[in-house]
Amino acid sequence: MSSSTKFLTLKTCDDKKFVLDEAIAVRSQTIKNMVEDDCVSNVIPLPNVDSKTMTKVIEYWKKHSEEGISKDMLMDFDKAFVKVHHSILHALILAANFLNDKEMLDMMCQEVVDRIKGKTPEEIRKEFDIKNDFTPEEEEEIRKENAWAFE
Amino acid sequence: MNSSGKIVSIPQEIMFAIFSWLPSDSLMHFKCVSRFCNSMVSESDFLDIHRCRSGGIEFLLHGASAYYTAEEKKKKYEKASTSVLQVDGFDSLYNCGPTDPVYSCLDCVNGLFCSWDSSNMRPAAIFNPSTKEVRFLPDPIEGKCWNKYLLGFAPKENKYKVLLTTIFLEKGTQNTGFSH
Repeated sequence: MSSSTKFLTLKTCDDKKFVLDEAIAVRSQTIKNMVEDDCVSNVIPLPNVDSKTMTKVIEYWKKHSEEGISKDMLMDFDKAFVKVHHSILHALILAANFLNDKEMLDMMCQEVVDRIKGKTPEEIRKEFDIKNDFTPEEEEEIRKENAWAFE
Repeated sequence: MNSSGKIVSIPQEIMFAIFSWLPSDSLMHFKCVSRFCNSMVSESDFLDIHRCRSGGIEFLLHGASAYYTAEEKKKKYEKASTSVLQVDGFDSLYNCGPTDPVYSCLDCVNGLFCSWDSSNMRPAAIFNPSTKEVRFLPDPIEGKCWNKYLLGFAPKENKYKVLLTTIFLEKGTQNTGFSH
């Protein structure tokens, strides 16, 4: 690590501090804007992100900033990274959105798409813990309207 | 995403992005999951987004005896693929044989298609290839005339409008407007 490396301190909503190389932290467009506008004092507060989620985000950023890492290795990392419970997926989407990291946000959204794709309504409910609040008649009606999708 | 409404806290534009990447059949399955899911997919803004970029490029294909939609899908790390789906709702309309289809005329705007029967036997239909929905316009005027439909979009009102020009063989021309 060269002597010119600058570090930023990020503080999550649960008051945990993360010290991070600025070159990595600017993967977040939000942080990058703050750095460029020179409005970074000592600590950057991240009021919408908790420490558990931030740990995952930093893990992703570090891996994607590694020098000489191959495309295949990143692909394997990404595939494993998104295999989390839907509540974590949800938190990561919100964090990626707040931090404005489009690459990460797109990847998380793609995972949600993959979890819905090719599944029956029952399977989708199970995947995301969604309660079916249709009456049987309503559900029958809406299935009938879109019968082509159920063949 | 759970029944306590956590799904709501995801900004709408992200939800729209997610669902606009879903193929149409998965989207319809999603509609059947819960009332909230159904209401999301029914929103007209959402349908606009989905029509513009449902994970790829959409085509309406005019087959020998049926209409098909083709959806080109692109996915990270995978090759682009194309799925072709026959449009059932339209098959029954297309029953005069391959050389003389009933709905032989087409006009399109923003990915919506207006299709009609030049010989004036049936109501014209508006067709959305993204959701495979078909809506019929009011019955055409009876009598000896030709119809021409023009489909248009009024961005300020966010409405689709149809101009029907009826050419009467004896009496001249009449214009009728519909909007939705």
